[in-house]
Amino acid sequence: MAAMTTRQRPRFGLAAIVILCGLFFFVPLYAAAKFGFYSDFKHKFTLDPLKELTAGAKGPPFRTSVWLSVRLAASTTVASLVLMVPTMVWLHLKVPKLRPVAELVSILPYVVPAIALVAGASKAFRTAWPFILVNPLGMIPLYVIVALPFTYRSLDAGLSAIDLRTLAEASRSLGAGWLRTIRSVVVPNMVTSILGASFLTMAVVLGEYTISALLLHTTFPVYLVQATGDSPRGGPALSILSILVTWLLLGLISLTQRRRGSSPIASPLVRKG
Amino acid sequence: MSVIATEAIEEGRPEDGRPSSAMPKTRKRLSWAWLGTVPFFAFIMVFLIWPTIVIGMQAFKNKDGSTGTKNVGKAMSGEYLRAFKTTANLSIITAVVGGLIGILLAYAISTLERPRFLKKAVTTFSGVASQLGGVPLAFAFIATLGSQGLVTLWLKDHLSFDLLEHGFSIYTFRGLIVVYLYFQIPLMVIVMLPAIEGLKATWREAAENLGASKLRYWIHVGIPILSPAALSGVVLLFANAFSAYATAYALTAGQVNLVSIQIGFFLQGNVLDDPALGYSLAFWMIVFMALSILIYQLLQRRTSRWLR
Repeated sequence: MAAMTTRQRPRFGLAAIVILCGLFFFVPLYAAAKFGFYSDFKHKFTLDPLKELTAGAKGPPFRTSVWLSVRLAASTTVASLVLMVPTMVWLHLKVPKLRPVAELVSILPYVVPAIALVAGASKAFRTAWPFILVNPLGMIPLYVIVALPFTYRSLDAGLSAIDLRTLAEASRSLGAGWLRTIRSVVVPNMVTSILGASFLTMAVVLGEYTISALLLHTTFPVYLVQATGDSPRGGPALSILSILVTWLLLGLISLTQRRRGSSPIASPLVRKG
Repeated sequence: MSVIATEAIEEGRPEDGRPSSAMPKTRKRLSWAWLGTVPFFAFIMVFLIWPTIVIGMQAFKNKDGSTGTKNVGKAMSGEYLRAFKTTANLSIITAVVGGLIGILLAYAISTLERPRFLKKAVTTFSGVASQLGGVPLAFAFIATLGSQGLVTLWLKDHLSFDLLEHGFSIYTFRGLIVVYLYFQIPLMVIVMLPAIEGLKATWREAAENLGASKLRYWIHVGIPILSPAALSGVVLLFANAFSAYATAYALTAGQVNLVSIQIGFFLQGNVLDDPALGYSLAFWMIVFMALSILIYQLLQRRTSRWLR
């Protein structure tokens, strides 16, 4: 509607598309919030469905599942960074010829989606390393794989944006060793992309359902599905909260990365123009 | 691993292939350099490549343990073939519909100049929503279009339109289409926006100066330049829907016959068939995903040619 004033011809069609899409995206969120937090009988805001759900009639309690998801998110993030930051710095500085190989590897988790990965992993590790499957924290390596496209993409973008070689050479010629160079020169220059990779990894892990459900670990999303059977209004209530947490995490990325015009959380598969 | 080793060794050799005095030194340094990537590639080998190889090996194993293609064939017949067809239908419908709406939305936000916050708002939202699959999304849609959902009741009360009577239920194939569009449209916006923004104003001006109508500009300039991006986006959306599990399972409790849900049944041990058949299903899924991603990458390469 507002576009009418800017050009000679009104752009009703385009405005209509934006408004219709806006409705399609907004209404489910509104509905979930109203369904979960509004009592039809008392006609007012209520936390009863949420309390009912988190009380959890059957299975492990709510808190255990949230705590597990939080621990998984934190440790997967740390593991991802420990593996990926030195690797990416090394790839950019020392072996740029291997970068295409690493980039190809980084999109492999799309080719082997979570449902296939968990099928393969449950067979591959059953006898050799059963703790990967039995211990809930054993899922960390699998989660690192699932988050790899995001981690790679974010760190690669961060490293490409700085003149790494010059920085490293300057630091080395001033007498710093490699460790010191990475710690006090390289990492401070890629804080944004490290934060971006971390928030994305956390969002991915907190919402991950396929792997944990099929390995029978009650993470938060698994609890959500189980408990909603007993409390149909609690499901949407908790869902809207979890969507808000995801938004908060991903919103933090766009706060740290202010590049105009481009989406802050572009899909790892989308090439930059 | 052999790829890496070969590349590193090749790098150590001077480009003209003649031996030089500097060679031993160079080779030594470079052979150490690739070692720095070993932890990464080893990790990938153990936790990604090895499980994939295991799927391949199990897929080509018959019931009696011998090697053969019986299960791979069976995974493409009967109920399982129907699962692949349903999954392909769902993926194609949501990719094409989501793709078209996504293109229109991307075009709209790059053309409309006001409100100013529009583009930023839509791109940020798209980045988030394209990742927002899974359980919470399914429940949000149950609250919207489920039997007691907000929109369902509103339609009944205000327009006396009963969704169920008209053959729509959120817990079915049709419902999945609507829910999948929630992450498909934003993903398409992300893919298309750089291409649409890459259409240079000078091209349009040149066409206009040469006397081309708006329609001709689109037929001869706009659409040919945008079509690789649009096609690649649709392929990406297809792959995205093809492999989804959580959303479909949370919404339909496994009632819709999708490949991912069938694989899940096998892993849960809910199937009387040969348990190894699950690996054949996973094998075919990987084949389809690999093909889609490959086509996507090739098309993206064509797209980026115009985006400099």
